[in-house]
Amino acid sequence: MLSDYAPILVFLGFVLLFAIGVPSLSAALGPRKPSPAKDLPYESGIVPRESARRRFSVSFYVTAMLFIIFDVESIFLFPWATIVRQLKVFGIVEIGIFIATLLVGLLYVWRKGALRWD
Amino acid sequence: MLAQSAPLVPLVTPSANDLLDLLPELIVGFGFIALMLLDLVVGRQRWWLAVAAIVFLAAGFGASVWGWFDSGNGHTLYFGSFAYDKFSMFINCVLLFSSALVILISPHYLNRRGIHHGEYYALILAATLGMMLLAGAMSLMVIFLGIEGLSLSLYILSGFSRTEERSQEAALKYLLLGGFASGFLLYGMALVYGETGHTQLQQIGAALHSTTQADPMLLAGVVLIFVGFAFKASLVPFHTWTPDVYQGAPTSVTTFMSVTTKVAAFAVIVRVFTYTFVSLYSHWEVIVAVVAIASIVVGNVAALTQTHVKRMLAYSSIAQAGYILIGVAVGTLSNTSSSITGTTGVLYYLAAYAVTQIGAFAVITIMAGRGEDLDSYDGLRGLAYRRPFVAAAMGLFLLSLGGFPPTVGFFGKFFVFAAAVNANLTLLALWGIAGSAISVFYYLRVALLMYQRPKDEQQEYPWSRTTIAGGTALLAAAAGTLVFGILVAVVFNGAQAAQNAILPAIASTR
Repeated sequence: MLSDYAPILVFLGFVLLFAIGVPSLSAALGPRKPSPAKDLPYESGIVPRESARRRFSVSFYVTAMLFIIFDVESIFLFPWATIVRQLKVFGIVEIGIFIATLLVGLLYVWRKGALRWD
Repeated sequence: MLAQSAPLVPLVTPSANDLLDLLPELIVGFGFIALMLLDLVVGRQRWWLAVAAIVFLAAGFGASVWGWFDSGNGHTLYFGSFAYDKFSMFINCVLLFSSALVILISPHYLNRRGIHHGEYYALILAATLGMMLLAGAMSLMVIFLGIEGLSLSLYILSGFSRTEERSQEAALKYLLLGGFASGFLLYGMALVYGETGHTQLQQIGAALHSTTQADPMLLAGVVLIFVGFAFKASLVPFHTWTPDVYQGAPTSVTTFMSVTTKVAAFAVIVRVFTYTFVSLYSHWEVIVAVVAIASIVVGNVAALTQTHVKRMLAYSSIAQAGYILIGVAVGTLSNTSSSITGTTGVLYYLAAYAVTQIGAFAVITIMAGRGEDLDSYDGLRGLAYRRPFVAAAMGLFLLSLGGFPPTVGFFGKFFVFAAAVNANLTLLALWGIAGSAISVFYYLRVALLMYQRPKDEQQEYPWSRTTIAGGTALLAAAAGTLVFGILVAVVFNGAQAAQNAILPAIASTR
């Protein structure tokens, strides 16, 4: 019973080995030539023009939250899609209710003006 | 291609009966969504939302009453994960009645505080739905769903006064501690699942019944689940959030959460501990008894020194939770042929607590000043001279909380303590009686203040007028407090029938 978990232990061992081993190897063997440019935040190749620590419009957060909510909800469609034929009419009705509920949510944020940028 | 391959387990879909028996929950759930949509079209006429919310709650109440007669000896829905029994219908009725009273007192209060947003009503219904799920939950998964459903709604509701720092603080504290509680609960569920291999209460009960030796891991799981529930029922030592949240939240929200959360939490405690973990009774009895005594002592002693009614009622609600927990600590023990058992006592007490506590908080809600709550003791001085009926109602609720006959509060305490005595737990009952004796002091102190002459006769009185809706709610709560205190048998027989039909049924040989 307990030996069923042995692969997990082996896995954990390898995780530790790689997590500690690879960085320390690279630290020991790799060349080290520090320069100010290397400490800059990565901006897809462009030299950063100002500090990234400034205030963002709250609209970003609202949009991001709404995206996450609807994105996560849509994940439920995937397991449903794999068995939709066995579920027959029941499955169609259930997913219809689910999507209708989502639509109500979308309608709500839309009418409340959460999708407006300014 | 995937769709053609045969499934590993044959697919079973819930029957139409499952849906039909879930009618109360479906109505409230539909109401929640409908209210969100309605909020988009009513504009500033928000009292329509209150009307609609009451219609949905009343329909849910009707469906629950129908379910009470229809469920008979009870059966499970959705393959054993939800109960359709008199117990959950009893709790549903208490919950829906309480929610409707809260909706009645809300519009006027929210207008005066300047926080009348349409989401309020939808969130109240969402929280009620979570509690109804909790009341009927027969699976660890559904329990968690219910707990989160009610918690998430209440986190938002307690921070509903967005510009007020105290309300925000309350919401944050509740969110953080509630999150911890959920963590404890889930950990406990994981351990119990790991030990028994089941998530459904019936199967867990059967699995526990056949084991002779209780595993430490299993006991740890049971204790962690209790911690999770105790947070929601605000039992000592998991009560620390209660006074701050109750005081910081808008009073109508406090009214709602102080009553309904406890009702739902105790419903699930009874179902899980008294009936599912029944074979582990000897293990959890001591913990539950100690928590009950601690809640009674801490709640009552701390309530003595308060100077604000909301805080005092918060501590008093901790003590009340302690009394109710005595009924749980009794378990299914009864050494006499008496019909008063722990669960009957708990159910009666919950109904009694609901009408009384709603009434007491409703008075504070109704009397709120413009933009602020008037809940300091000084603010109530002389209330009886300006608002004699409201003050009389408040006096009645305070007497009921203190346990004076012929109010419903007296019989609540009586049945719980009698159940403890029946089970040879006299010491536990004595703690409860001693606690009630202390509580009389701080309840009567408020009652006397209301009947004292105001300091300055010329002073402007900031108390709000009582609206028709608010008056109706007060009248209903007062009537419940008095009538059920006189016609005890109505509620008692109901509680007994609910107890007799509760699922999971205990295996006959113990």
